[in-house]
Amino acid sequence: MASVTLSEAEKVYIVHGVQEDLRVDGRGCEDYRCVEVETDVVSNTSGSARVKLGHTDILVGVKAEMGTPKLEKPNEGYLEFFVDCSASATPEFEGRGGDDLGTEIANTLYRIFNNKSSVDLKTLCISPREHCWVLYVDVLTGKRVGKVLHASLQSVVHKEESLGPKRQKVGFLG
Amino acid sequence: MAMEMRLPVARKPLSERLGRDTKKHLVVPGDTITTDTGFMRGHGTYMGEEKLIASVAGSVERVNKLICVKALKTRYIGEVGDIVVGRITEVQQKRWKVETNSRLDSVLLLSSMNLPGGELRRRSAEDELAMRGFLQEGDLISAEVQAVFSDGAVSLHTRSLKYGKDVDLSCPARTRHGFAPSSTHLLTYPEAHISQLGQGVLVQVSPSLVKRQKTHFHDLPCGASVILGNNGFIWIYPTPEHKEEEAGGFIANLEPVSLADREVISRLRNCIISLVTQRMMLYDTSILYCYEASLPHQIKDILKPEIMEEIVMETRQRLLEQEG
Repeated sequence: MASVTLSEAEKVYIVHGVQEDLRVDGRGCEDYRCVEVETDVVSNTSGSARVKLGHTDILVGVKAEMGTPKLEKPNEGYLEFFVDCSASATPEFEGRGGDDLGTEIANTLYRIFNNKSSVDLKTLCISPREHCWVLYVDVLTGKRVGKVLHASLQSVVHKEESLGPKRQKVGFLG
Repeated sequence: MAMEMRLPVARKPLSERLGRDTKKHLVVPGDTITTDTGFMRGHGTYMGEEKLIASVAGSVERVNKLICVKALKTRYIGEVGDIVVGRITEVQQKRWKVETNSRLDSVLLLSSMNLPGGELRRRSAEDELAMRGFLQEGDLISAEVQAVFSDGAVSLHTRSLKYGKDVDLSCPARTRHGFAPSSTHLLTYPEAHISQLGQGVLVQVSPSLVKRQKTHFHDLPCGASVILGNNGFIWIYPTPEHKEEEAGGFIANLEPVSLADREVISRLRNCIISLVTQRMMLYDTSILYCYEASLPHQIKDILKPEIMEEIVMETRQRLLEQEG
């Protein structure tokens, strides 16, 4: 994440403010900034979204492909995440610098989407043990990477919604 | 914990909303400024194919026979006498390196710094070793530009107002009035100059948006004070109760600031950011009008694009009325 240097007095000011539920920009501790969402921005994906939250700018694309279900879950499809922290976000991500943060975020996304209440993986199954839908989710971060996790979560959720009609079409074919 | 989502909206061009009499001549790199060869070429222009072409994106300024292009998005270019707010990045042998949003880090020499207690004496080896005790990495200072080196790096000094003198012991500097460096001269700034900054909020904007004025230290009537650094760093802080001689200002006041003062400071910060997004010049009157226009709204609502537009429109109207 981007690092900022502050003087001691500034840190004290911020901490005292947070204790009184007033951030530096006037929000309360639990208030969000405005989020800008744009869907269908990448043409060669099944669904995509671009989310802007403060200075963070994220592009997420979802591609649906046929695959075989995992052995331990023959009735479900699955999701694959890949997070790319590009060097255009901050110079620290140049070369392999962004890989650690990327894998960490990807792992967190795996855990989040690993339960039934977020995405029902059974709907991704075509025929048990043989075919299922695999959703490849790619996250690309541009600009600064403060709230990547939040923003990418929203993007993925948006994608799921935009994929709805496609899933129904599959049901018809299968 | 409601989250507000919105679709991206194209921003309306500024000139549509309020008619302006004098339209600025804006150019981009490669644009022809004029085909008249009688003009002298200033910064931001070059001669090519018998015409004057712009090399930066900005507005054309003409002074008699000199044409130059003033870039709109640029790093801070130091000029002697400017007030800047900077952050210490390094502590070196006899000087500090200060980040001021310019192309090179600025320099603050140990000899150009007020000593606590306001003493005037030659800096000794003990002072050198105690430098980190005065200013550390990350500290914010407000200072004045003393000199500009040939590579564009800027040398700063902080001044003590109590004695009304500005004594420079080391490098030759030329003041704005061109006096010889060894002489002392009286300052006429009416308010106290703070060197090390205590509690408050820093806002970073483009240097081209800070209007050049007689003074950059303002005590706004709404309850906070503001330092408009020429380098685009704006420092908002609670007005100190009494203007004590700051003992060099090295002992920052770390007592909690009251909630009312905090709200004023946050509101001012959001107002400055809205003025900046609408590319308005920043000076005490514009900030004050924007603050007053924002009072009916909640502080966190000011960051929403439509409310930002509304507030800045009102500010702009008030400023136009005031001018003419």
